[in-house]
Amino acid sequence: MHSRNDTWQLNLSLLTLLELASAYLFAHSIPAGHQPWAAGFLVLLVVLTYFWRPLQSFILLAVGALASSFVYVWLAWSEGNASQLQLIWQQVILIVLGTVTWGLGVYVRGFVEQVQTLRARTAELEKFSPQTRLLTLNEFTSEARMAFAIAKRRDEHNVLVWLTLRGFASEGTGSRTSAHLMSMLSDAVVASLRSNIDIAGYLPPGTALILLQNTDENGARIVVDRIMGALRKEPSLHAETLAQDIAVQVTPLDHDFAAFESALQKGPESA
Amino acid sequence: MTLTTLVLIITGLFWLMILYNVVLAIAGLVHRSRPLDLHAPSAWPSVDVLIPAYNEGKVLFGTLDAMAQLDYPGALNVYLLDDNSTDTTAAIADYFAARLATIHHVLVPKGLPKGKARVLNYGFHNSTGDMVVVYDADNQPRPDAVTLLVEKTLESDRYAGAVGTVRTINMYSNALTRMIGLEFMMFQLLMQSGRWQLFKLGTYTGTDMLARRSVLDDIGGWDEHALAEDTELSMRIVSKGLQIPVVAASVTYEQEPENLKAWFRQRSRWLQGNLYTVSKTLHDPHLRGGANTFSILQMLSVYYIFILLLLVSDVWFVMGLIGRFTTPSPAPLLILWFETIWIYAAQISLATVSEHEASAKNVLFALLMYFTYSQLWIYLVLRGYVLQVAGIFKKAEPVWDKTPRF
Repeated sequence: MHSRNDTWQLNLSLLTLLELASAYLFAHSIPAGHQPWAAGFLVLLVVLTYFWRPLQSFILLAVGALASSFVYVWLAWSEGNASQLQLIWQQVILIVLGTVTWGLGVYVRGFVEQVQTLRARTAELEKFSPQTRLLTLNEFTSEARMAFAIAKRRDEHNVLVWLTLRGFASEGTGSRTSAHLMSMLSDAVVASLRSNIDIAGYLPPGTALILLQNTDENGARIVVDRIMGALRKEPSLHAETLAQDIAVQVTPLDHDFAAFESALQKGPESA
Repeated sequence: MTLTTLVLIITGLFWLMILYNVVLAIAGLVHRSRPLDLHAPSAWPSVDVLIPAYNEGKVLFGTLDAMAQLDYPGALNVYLLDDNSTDTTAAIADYFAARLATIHHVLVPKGLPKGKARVLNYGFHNSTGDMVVVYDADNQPRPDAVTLLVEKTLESDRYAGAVGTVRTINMYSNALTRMIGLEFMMFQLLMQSGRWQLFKLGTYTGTDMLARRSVLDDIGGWDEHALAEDTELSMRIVSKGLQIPVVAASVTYEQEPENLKAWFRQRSRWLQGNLYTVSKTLHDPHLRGGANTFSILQMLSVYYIFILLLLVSDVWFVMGLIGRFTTPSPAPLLILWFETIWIYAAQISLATVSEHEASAKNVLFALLMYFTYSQLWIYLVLRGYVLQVAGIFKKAEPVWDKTPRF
């Protein structure tokens, strides 16, 4: 079984081999009188694929490939003696050659565009959970490791806050957490923290984790109140009902990273 | 008329329909390839989203969660119209309504005829937004779906509303859902994008659709006896000289039947509904004429002429195979047969490319569909006739056969 990483090697090599094979067959099976028209079409297709938008060059491919059906029906009808199988074979060669040529162009062009896009987004994609603006668990743990190292050096105390959004529970389907409500909670968390000091992460399916540095349980309560206040300001929410869904848990950790990791492994008490 | 002439006429008609579909496919691609040029209005109209629901507990949580994520700049309210469900539908609706000010759970009073149209009318009369959007209870629209529909509608006073694109959320669950998904893509490319590009003709598809409240008021809402209430509504709107633009970028995802039994039930209902609409339009002089004549001709060609040709073609093929019939025609049958399959598979493949779902497996399925999925169409249409005729003789109210969820 191929991994996603080497699928492109297989696809590109297959496409190239297919293009070579169909080009060979094009030269040997398509009547000389038809070749200039077909070759002109292919050249136009290549130019448009690289210099125009792929979907528009695809329209040209579609028009050409579908029009060939009507041309070959006409040829078969008008040239009563022609072998139908031979005509089908010629048409298949043209369709395959056109499709592979277009496919190769789109594949290469797609790589170039992906590289450009990914360069800009890599950092963000690695850091944040796609559903929320919170750090992924790995990134959260990694940043927490540094925070605990600093706390140990300065002999400060850290506090881990768990905000767990209880989902909708029903028989048969189990508990389900609304992505939208979780996103609202995450927004409130992000808006309520000290951006360069505190760290917020996401523990699926419904827990926002906050590591507060150099504070105690009272400080944590103040932050939680601020988050609830931010939720109350959101006009689309019935915040009091939502507040009842959010289980708050505060875990004092001093500067012990091992205790932090252990707490994360156990998960929230309300889960 | 000699047999040769008959064969030539049938072949000619068949190819005329194929040519029409090819032109639609290319026009659909042109429509999809054009960049959206929509503009935000100075003031956004208020929008009511109506979601009729009956026993939708299996899918409703995802639906309402997606509705909560709709990113619309103006006032937007979502009404879950609960047609007296007996499962967890009400509990899920209450859960969201208790937490989000924009979601409302509305219990629809019992009444006849049963079905989506009556529930929609109730929701329509009990809401006040400038625009009315409809989603089925298994739908999960993209966050910008409603905004795009509103922006398009506001482009012209001739636009009664707008309709978006439906995709299959469970397309890769099994072979049947994949084929349904591919068929949907082809339908939307040809019959929605293609027809809009060529003829400025769009049809509501029952979901991801928007109508101005003023238009719905003017035409009296939905026909409660129509099983294909979307097509019927489109006919009445078009008869007023209005248009329904297709906005391919407004996308919703919906669940499709995962077994043949559920699929037959769903499609039989659609067919009955469309046959009802054909009959109603033909009998009502106000509905006939203009673009509706074209739509009716197309429906007649699909439900009557195409089926007749398909049956003749199949009988011809089978008789030929067992050596009981040889054609006297000079038509190059082998190449015609090959081209028909190729064009059918090509149209589906074009649709998959335009929706970024192209793959070798989908091309293979497109070929398989010609011999399997498409042939079921014959049975479906014949069953639709029988049910329609039986309904006329029994003078019975149409029965809304709800599609089961998975």
